[in-house]
Amino acid sequence: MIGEMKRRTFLKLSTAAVAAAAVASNFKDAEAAEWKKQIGKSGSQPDPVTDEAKIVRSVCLMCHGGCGIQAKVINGELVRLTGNPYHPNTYDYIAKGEIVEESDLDAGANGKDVGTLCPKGQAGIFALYSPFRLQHPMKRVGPRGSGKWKTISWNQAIKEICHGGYLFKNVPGEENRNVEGIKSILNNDKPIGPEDSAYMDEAPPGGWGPKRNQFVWAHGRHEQAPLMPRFVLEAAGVPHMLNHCSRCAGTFYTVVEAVLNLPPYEIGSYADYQYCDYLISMGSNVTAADYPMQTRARYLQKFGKRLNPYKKEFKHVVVDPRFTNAAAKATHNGAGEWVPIKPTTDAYFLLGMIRWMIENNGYKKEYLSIPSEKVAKKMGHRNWTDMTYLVSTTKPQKYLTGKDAGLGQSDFVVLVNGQPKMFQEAEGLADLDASYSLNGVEYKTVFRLLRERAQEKTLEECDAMCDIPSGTIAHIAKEFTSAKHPVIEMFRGPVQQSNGWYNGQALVIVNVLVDNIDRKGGFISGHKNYWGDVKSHNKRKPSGVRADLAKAAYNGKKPTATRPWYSGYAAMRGVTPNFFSNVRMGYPYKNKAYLNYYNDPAYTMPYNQATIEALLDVKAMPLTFSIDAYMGETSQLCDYVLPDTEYLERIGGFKTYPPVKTRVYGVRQPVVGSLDPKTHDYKSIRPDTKTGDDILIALAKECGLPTFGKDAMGPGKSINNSWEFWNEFYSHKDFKGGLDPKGSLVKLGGKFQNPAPKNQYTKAYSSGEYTSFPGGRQVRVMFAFLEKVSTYKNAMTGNYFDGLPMYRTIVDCKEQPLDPAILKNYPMQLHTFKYPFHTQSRTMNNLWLASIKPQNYAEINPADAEKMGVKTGDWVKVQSPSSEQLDSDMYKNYRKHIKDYYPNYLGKGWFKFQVSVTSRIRPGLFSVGQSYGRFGAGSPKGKWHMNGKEQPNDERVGAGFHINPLYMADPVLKNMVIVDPIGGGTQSFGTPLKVEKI
Amino acid sequence: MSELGAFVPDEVLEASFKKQGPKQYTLWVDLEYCVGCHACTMACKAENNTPVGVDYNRVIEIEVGEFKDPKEKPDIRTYFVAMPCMHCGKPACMAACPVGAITKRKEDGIVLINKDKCIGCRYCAWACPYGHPQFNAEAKVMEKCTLCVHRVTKGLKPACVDTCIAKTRFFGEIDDLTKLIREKRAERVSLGFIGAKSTTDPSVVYTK
Repeated sequence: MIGEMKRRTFLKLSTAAVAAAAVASNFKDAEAAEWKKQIGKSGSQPDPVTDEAKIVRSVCLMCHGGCGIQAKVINGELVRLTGNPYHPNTYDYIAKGEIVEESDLDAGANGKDVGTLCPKGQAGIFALYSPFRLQHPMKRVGPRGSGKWKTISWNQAIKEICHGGYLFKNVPGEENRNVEGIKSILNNDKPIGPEDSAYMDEAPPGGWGPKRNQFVWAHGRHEQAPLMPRFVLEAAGVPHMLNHCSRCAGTFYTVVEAVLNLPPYEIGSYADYQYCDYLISMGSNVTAADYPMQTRARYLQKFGKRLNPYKKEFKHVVVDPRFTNAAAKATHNGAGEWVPIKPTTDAYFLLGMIRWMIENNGYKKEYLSIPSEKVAKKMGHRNWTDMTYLVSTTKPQKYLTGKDAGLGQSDFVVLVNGQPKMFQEAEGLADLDASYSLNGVEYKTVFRLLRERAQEKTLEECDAMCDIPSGTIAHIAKEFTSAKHPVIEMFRGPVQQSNGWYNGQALVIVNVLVDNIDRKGGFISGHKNYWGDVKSHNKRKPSGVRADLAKAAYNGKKPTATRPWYSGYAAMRGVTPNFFSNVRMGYPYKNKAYLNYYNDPAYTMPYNQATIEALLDVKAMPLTFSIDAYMGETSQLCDYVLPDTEYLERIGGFKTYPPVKTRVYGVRQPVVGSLDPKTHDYKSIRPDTKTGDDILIALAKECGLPTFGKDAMGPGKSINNSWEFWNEFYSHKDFKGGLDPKGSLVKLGGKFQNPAPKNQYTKAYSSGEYTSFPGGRQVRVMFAFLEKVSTYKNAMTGNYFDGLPMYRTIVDCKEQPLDPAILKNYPMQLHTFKYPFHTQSRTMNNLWLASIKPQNYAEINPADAEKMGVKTGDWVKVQSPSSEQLDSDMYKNYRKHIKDYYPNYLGKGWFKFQVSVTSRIRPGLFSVGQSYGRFGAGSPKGKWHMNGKEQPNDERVGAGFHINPLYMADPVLKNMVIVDPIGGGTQSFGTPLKVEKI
Repeated sequence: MSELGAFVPDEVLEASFKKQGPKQYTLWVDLEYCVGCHACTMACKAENNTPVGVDYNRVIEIEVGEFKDPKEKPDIRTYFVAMPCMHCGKPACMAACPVGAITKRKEDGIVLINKDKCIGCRYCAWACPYGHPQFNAEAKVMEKCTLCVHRVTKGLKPACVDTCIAKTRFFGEIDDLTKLIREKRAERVSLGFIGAKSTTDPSVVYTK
């Protein structure tokens, strides 16, 4: 355990490190303050209150909300972080003009206008000065995962990674292993052939693509767009930029974009908390999580409940297996409700609601009968739906076109008083619940198909399936549809499941039925953020099939595929677990190099054993290197670790998320460290670390890749470092002036549209107020039925998917339900959640945040505790239907390490956990909060040596328990987590477990 | 410029700062809207540079009721209660200190430990009904919330107040705050103190 460390003496090597007491004493107050004498000089001393502090505005990265931060820096040392009040995530104000200017706020070191910052953001100071931060590039000197490293120079690291060779000849067993470097890999345009793939008969007609596709990039977050996508797609020219989205919320964004017909990557939709009067949060940990966590908390708690014109009527219903902090607030003074839904049953709740709404006139009939833009405009609406469009009833289900109906050129056909018409020719409303026969085939309106689907189950069956009191769904649906401003929102809960795509689709449809899309107090999407530009010269074009088989339609010689493939429409954000599970069998083609950036899948992936085993396999993954500021769980399994700077030492920028309703772009800039005045090379307070940008630029140059280095933007226009890239980016399109220190961008920490309420909504449509969306959100149709899904085949079965939500719980990759015998033998359900002061794998290695709740427990309901005969503090053992695999050859490499990483592993698939009994968890659940049980980044379970010396670690980092090894594997694939065949999201909740008292 | 929709208007805050003493600066913590995020705890730590293990503000979670049968509608509660120093009218810590290291300022009622005088005996922590003072193991002295005296004497708010993401924590002079609460909140919530006023006379006001 490391000794108690004063904040600024963590960093023993830099001359910039100064103790707090010395800083305080450097400043003469006008008078010797009485309080100073009253507290004395010993012990903790508060920050100086001085106008001489330097203020640097940047963007937080302790989560993904993108809140602006304001850093108070004294003598080159970060003293304090607060919110950047100019950034609407952190503060509510009205500016004078269209764009916010410095004079709009009194925002200096001691200004009246202060932005708020959540606990994680506040703890950024610890992260910057953390004793666990890496200092030098390193190469392993033992086998993978042995924790033995030596420092090397940047030059050696770049050269070895790029040029390869017998890199590990001093490691027993790897003496004769010749590693191909990435320069050779990335410049090889020859097509992948049988020498690289045993699955040529599953390749599409165009082949797998060029051999450079054998390089794979995977990030957890980067927030360095467009620089990092440029590296992957334009410089390296490979199609796979793998990410965390499959285990996070990729499906949420994609299904919202699909149904609401939003431009891709437009960042989803949330409730407009400020003006709604009936809010259902389903699987949405509002006030504790999601983005921006603090903004949604403020909009709900400050506006929704206190300043809202509808605050008297306002009711919050939280549908969640856990009594979240939001549920606690909703029920605090009796007004709201908690519906403790059983995990995996979301489709039953939502389709059940839809059934009630359709049968009880709980939907906007006229609105849903609008067939076209012409009629929508006539009636004062900004959007309309496909509810009146005719769809075939034979597979693959498609919209009836004008051509097929013999009417003319048209994408959709409707019925007007029973007569078919091309949608653009209807003068008024069309028939909503109708059908039509043509050439012996029956066509039905989307609304009718939806009604018939919803009516496949009774409301009694739905309540029973959800394991909630009979009548709950009807009562909630009734209140929802009686309200004037109802909205239902979600985040990961409904969509991080094998039926996730359909669950998400159903939820958005509930909103569509009440015509609240884009409305004030409704379900609102994000704004187009401000954006710049950097030209690319000679950029490459990625081609071929991604290593995670996402964004590809199976079209091989074999009728069905060996492993799942995922459509570009529904799984556009990628399916990373598919890569880690497939790479061991060289599917679809062998991997040659893997770059891990700001990413920790060895810890964060559900069923993380697949990731760990893959990374330990030098045959399957011959060259792996990680850019990380810590020796994370994943980095410690790689060949090279290149030390990243912390987020407070980066240049870049970030957007924000709905429900922020005005345009934003936050500029990220280093708050400490130094920028060379001539070259603009940046040096961090850990001088031998480099920003991720600069590492990639160095690799690109060494490999001779286009779009970085010399002539990057055109002849004579080079990009040599991070600053040069961003200075260019901030000089074009929505920005001007680049990174000029005197310019508004740098001073304010971004560009912000005036966040005044008048800019948030528009009264231009007679049917009611909508959010205003400057940056353009066109009047458009929305799709309850998804033809791009219904015309895509499941690669493993050859069957078409359904275009409407389905009543399903857990399904495997072939869309079969789980064997009921498994559910009987493993009767508890896995559950997890996030604490407000934690983020994935970023926070337990932050001792400030770790101190809030030193360890987690397995939480179980008192009813289950009684049955098991346990009380809080007792120990239980847990097993999943797949966890016995951990003792088998499937995990022959990981077996050697598992007891180090999981000292609570008992063998034969059993893990022991300490329980905490609480009514905050519904019966039947075994719930373990995320972020604990670390085995890297400073945890002693991931102990490591640099040049023979043990590196700083602290048992507090590794405290608590981790549930990820206990996820169930897909019963067909056996070595991969269960994944939604359509959306590609992992089954993150509700998988079966067996729990017994020890 | 000032915050759109502020619950403690600028005029009330300015009046609190301008008021001539003796007065009692204090906090108003509105439990109804606190989301239990612990931002206040972390902001305080960042502002006051306390070591890991010492927090001048702590948030406790209190679960009430039991839920066991999913066929019944649940009826449970969880309260998040932020606990800084109460800056009591009759501080038990001050009475207990054997070396007179604790003072209650006349001008604003803030209670402070003089850490040069403190001998680390911990009687103050023992006497405090809230267990508030904490031991700094490295410096070997007791430490406590100062109501950010270094900030409030310069017309700034305490760090915990500035950072509250749910806007549920407020600073002012006790009479100004109490008047505001009675106007805006007390129609339907009760105004309370943790522990009876008749013991140590805590000044921090809570509404539920």
